[in-house]
Amino acid sequence: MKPASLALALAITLMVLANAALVPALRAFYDVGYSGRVSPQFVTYDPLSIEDMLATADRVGGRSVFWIGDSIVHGRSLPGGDSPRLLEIELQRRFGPDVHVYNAAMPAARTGDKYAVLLRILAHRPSFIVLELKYLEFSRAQVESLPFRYPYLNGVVAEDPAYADRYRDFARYVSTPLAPPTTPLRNELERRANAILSVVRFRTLLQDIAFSGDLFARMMGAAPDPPIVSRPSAPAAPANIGDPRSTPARDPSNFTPAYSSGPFDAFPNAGLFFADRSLEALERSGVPAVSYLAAINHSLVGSLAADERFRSNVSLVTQIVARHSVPFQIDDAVLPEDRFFLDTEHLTVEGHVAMVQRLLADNASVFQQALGR
Amino acid sequence: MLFASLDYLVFLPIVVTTYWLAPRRWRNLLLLVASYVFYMWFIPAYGLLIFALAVGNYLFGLWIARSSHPSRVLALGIALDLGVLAFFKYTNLLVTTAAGLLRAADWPTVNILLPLGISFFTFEFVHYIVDIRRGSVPIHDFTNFHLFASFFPSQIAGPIKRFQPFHAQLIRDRRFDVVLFEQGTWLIVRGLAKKVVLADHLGPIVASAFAPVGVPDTASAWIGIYAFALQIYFDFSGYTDIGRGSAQLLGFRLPENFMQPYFAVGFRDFWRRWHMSLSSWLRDYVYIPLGGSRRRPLRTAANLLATMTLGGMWHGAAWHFAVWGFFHGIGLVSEHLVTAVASAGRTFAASAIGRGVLALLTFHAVCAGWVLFRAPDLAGAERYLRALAGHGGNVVVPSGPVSFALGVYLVSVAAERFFPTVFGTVLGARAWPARAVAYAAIALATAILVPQTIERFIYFQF
Repeated sequence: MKPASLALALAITLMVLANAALVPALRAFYDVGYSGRVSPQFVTYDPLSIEDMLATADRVGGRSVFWIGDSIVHGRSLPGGDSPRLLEIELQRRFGPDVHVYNAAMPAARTGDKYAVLLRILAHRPSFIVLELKYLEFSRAQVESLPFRYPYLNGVVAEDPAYADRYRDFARYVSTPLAPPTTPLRNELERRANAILSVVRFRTLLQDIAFSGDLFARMMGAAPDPPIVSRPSAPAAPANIGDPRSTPARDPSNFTPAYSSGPFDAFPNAGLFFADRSLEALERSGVPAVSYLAAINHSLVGSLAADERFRSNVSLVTQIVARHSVPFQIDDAVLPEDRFFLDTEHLTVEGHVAMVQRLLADNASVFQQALGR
Repeated sequence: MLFASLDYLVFLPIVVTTYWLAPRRWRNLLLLVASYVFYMWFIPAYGLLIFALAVGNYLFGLWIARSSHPSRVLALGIALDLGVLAFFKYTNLLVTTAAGLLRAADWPTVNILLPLGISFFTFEFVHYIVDIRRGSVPIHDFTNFHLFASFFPSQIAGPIKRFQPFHAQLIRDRRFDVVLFEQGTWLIVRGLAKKVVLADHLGPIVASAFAPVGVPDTASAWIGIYAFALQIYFDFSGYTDIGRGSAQLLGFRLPENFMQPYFAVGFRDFWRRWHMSLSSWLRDYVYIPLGGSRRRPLRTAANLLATMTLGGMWHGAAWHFAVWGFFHGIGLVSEHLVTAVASAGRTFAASAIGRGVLALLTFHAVCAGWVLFRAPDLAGAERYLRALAGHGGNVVVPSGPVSFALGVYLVSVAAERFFPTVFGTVLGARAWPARAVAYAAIALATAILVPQTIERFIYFQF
């Protein structure tokens, strides 16, 4: 055999071995992949987290309810249960044990990320969808700087012809590059590449392990990411919805000035656009769904509710919602008390319980129609 | 199709496998079809343009060879090629410049989308018909000519091929050569690493330094210009590596385009090392026909300035590109003058220290030229040059990735210089395990460090 053949054969063997050994090696130390619920830290790193979740739902069978949202919904670290787990308890009690609620929320997700997840989930014909939106996503300060937190999801959104039409408008206002309009074929290629090439799939995680963050961002002076906790233990699920266990310490100092940075329509607002697209996609799919604008803690954000800009911003959101038939509620009235909040927007266990109870009460007929036998 | 894309990483293995499994008589046709798929991936309609130009130039080649007035036919052929190039590339510039001069603010905006690679294949067509006029035998087989015109590894950003050596490869019996295949693989791995790991991570720094709003402080301006010098080198030479490597997987050899350009001693030497296929084209088809250096010194200087200014304009339809070309022309003319007049410094220039000093000076002169190249317009270039000279603003850019890229560049140059049998073009027989480990390590590192968004190659816009 010629040396050139040997060199190529050895190089290919080394790459195949490295690729094959990576997933077991990572699994030995970290909670990668999806097991029961989206892992709170690895959903950030793993482009296939959502795929894993859908595969789990297919495997488990029964009737699948997906709750799409951000850290407010995610609440994974709460020992008393996050909203999806509490909802599952109640839905199973009412409609049978084959109803499974999946926590499809991703910490720090923006409306664009939620829209991308929604499109993926809708392709799997779920039984029901709960879609959470929040005020902060529609404020200028957030969307101008970064419409997507989960760049690997951009491709899904970039298939949308309406996104292609607006791409240039959005791209002008962002500091990080947006995914240019793309085709389903190219996205499928990318998905398969991630599935086959684990080095590509876990590249963000590998960089975090090796360099405490993105290598080039670190070179540019970015602070190191917090250390990755090996195998975080999932808190035990509560026995029933009225079983709030201990609650983490409240953080009343967490006030985000972005809340009052409006008005929301100061530029082609990506948050409003993606909210509109999400509700339209839900409507088109015919999948039963409810949507809501998550509550904020008015005792911490001061006189915001009375602020004219804030009120006009809320009216912009309600105008969009009014165009669609998906049931929608604004949770400010639902959670009026300070004790429901950990900070300006994240909920205590009591908050999660109250939230789920009101969601069920306000949409009882929608749930009954979709999940009742 | 973009070389540094998933599409291409699927496309290339399919083409290479099908190509080597296909009967020999079908291989060129198969490559032609693959080249059209590659070219039409972005905008299918432009396939018609390259087809029409290929048919036209094929017929002009035959006509020139048989005509009793070949020079007239040649002039017609060149006018056609350059006319098409001018229409697509310079109409926007001419209209906006004319509107500016005539203060006609209400003139309609013309927005013609530039077909990818048109500057490159136009130069190949011009070379073809000129060489037929000079006595070369035209290509009679249309498929072969068509493939010369559209060969996907060099189609969009070169290297600018010469038809004689390429045609010789087209008509010979190409057998699978594992050594050529390994070299090609190495070039592709290296090219991808240059593009996605280095060039694309330098891009944001360059974009911040050259942003239309704000002026960098003096230190950041220097960081920004070093970043651009490295970015454009890694981007363009990365593209060329992938193109040449892809050709080698198919049994073809394409010309070199870069030879450690930032170690050049003087402008002449720089153009012998940077975008070599373009500089030799400009020499053969513009500079020498204008009279080259055979006339009086003043005429030679004028020829150099005209050639380099045209070369600048070829890069982009904007006046700052013309000024960039003119700047290099001035550099070449000055060098001619200095070498003709100053004999005293020759000993120093020939010494190792002298060469080092001159290389450093040349690099910085080239960097000054890159300001003209990269700035959005001449006013922007002036602002940037003032920032370099100490009149900076308050935009600050980070230096970490630039130091990293510079380190990689110097290490790779040293590796090729001191370990040519392992990493250079001469592949040593006994070093195969080291090479295998290097290929695998670089490929895996590239996969891990690939940015979320891969930018188009800089030279695609030309």
